[in-house]
Amino acid sequence: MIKVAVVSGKGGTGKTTVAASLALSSQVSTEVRDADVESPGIADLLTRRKISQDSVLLPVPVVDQDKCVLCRACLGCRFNAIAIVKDQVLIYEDICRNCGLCALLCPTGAISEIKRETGYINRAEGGNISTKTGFMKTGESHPDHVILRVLELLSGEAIQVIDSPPGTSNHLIYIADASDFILIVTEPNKFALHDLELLIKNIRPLKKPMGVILNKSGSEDSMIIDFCQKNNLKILMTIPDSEIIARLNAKGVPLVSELPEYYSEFRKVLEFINNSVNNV
Amino acid sequence: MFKAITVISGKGGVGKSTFSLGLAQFVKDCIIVDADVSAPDLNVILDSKQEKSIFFKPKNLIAEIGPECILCGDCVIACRFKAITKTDDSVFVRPELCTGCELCSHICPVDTIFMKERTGFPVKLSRHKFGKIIYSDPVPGQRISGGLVSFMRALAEKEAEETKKDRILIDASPGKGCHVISAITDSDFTVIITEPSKAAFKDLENSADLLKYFGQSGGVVINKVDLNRNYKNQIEQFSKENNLDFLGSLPYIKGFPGYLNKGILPLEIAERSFNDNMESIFKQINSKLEKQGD
Repeated sequence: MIKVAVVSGKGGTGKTTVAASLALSSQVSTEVRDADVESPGIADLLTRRKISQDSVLLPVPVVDQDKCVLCRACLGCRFNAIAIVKDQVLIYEDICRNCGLCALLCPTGAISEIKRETGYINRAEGGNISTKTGFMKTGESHPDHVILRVLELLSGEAIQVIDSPPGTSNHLIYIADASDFILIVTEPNKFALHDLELLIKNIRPLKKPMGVILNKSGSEDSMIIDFCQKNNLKILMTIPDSEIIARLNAKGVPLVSELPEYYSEFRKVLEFINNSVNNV
Repeated sequence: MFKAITVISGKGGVGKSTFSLGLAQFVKDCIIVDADVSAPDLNVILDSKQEKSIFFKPKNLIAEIGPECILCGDCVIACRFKAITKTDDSVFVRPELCTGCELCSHICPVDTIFMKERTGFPVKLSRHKFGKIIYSDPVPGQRISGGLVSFMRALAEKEAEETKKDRILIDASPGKGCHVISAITDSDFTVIITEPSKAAFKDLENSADLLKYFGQSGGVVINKVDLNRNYKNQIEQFSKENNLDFLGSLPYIKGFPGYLNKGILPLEIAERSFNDNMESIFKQINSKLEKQGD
C-alpha cells in the first residue's frame, strides 16, 4: 500500500481538489482519508455511500470527592487545569489536555476518567474508492485526537490518499509520519511561497520523498519554479489558473469529472509516486 | 478604549488575509495581529519596518529522555499525544508534539525522563504605511499553540493603549481549534469570510456554530461572489437565521494574487466594485462597534 499525504502550507491552494482527482484517477482500490478535521470536505466531492459513523472519545478526568484526601498531588497538573476551592477539587475541562497525569498521581483513586466525544469518523464507499473522514466537534480546542484516529487503523487498499489541513503546524507531523510520500500543492503567489518555505523547513527532516503540484499556474510561476529548483523539489504537474476550474470547485464537481483530459496527468503523478516510494 | 475585530474563515483560501489587509487600509492606523501562527503571511506583502522584537517563551515544558533509558517503550505507549518515538536503538521525544504534560516522566521505570523548559522565539512588532503589525517568526520544532495567539493579542492591546490606537485587527488561522478560539474570545466583532462554494458553506455553518458556542457577535462577507451567484441568497438567509449580520460581498478579481505579488494592496488595485463594497462593509462594522459603546 502506498500512502500519499496531500499538503500545502497556505490554505486554499487546492489540496482537496487535487486529492479528489488523484483518487478518482486511480485504477486500483483506493482509500481517501480526510485529516482536515476542522474543515473536512473531500468526501463531498467523492459522494460515496455512507456506511458508518463512529465517535472519537477523549478521556476526561472526574473527581470522586468522597475518596479525595486533599493531598494536593493533582495540583501537579502542568496546565493549571486543577484547583482546590473550599476543599473541593475542581477540574477545568476546557483547559484540561486529557493527558492522564492527575489520575495517575492520585493516591486514593479519587480521580478516574470518563469519556467525552471530541469528534467522529464517517466512513463511506462506492466503486473502487472508500472514504474515512474525521470531524472535530465545534468547541473542541485540539484536533490531534481526531486526526490520530483518522490516520490509525490498517486498510487493505492499494493506495491511500490523505487530505490534510493547511498550515505547517504539529498536526502535519502526524500526517507525514503516516505517509510514504508527501505531495505539496502550491500556487504562484507570495503568501503561498512564504508558507512553502516554512513547510519545507518543517518536513524536510522527516526524510520522506516529496513532490509538488503547481496549481493556478500563470505568469508568476517562476517564483515557485525557482524555489523548487533551489530546494531539489520536482514539480510533478501544473494546473492552470482558470475561471472554469474555479467554478467547478465552487459547484463541488471534481476536476477530472468535467475535464477528463486531466485523468492521464493525475495517473502520471500516481505512477511517479509509486516509483518514488518503491525505489527507496 | 480600543475595539478588536477578528477575521476568520473555516476554510483556507477564501480571502481572509486579503480582506484583513483591505479592512486595515480603511481603518488606517490600526494594529494588525497576524494570528495565523503556523503560516503568518501578512508581513510578506506589507512593506514594514521592525520596531520591537519580543521574546515569546512557551509555558509548556518539553520531555527529554535521559541517559539511563532501557528502551522499554513504556513512555511511547503511555503518551497520549504520540509524541515519543522508539527505534531499535533509541527513544526520543518529538518537540512539535510534546505538550509537556509530564506523564512520561512519572511512568518511566528507571526515572530517566526529565522536563525541560522550551526555548522561545521572537514575536515582531513592525510599522507599515497604515499602522502596525504583530507577527511571529515560527521556528521548526516548536509546538504552536493558542497561547501564542493570546500572547500576541496581549501585546497588541498594550500597544493600542500606549499609542492610543482605536482598532486591533486580528487575522485568525483557518479552522476552529484553539488558535481560532483564542482569536475570537474577547473580540468585539468577528467577521466570517466565506466564498460561494459548497465546501465554504459547510465551513460557514461551522464558523457560525463557533461564534454561538463562545457567545461572540459577528457578520458575514462573501468573497469572490461572482464565482457562483446562486449562493448569495442562501448565505444571506443563513446569516439572518443565525443572528449574524450580512455585511456584503466582494467581487472575484481575476489575477488578484498577481497584484499582491507586486506589493499592490487590495484597495490600490483600484477595482471600483471591490473598493465600494469594502467601504460599505467597513462602515457597517464601524457602526456595529460604535453601537456597542465602551
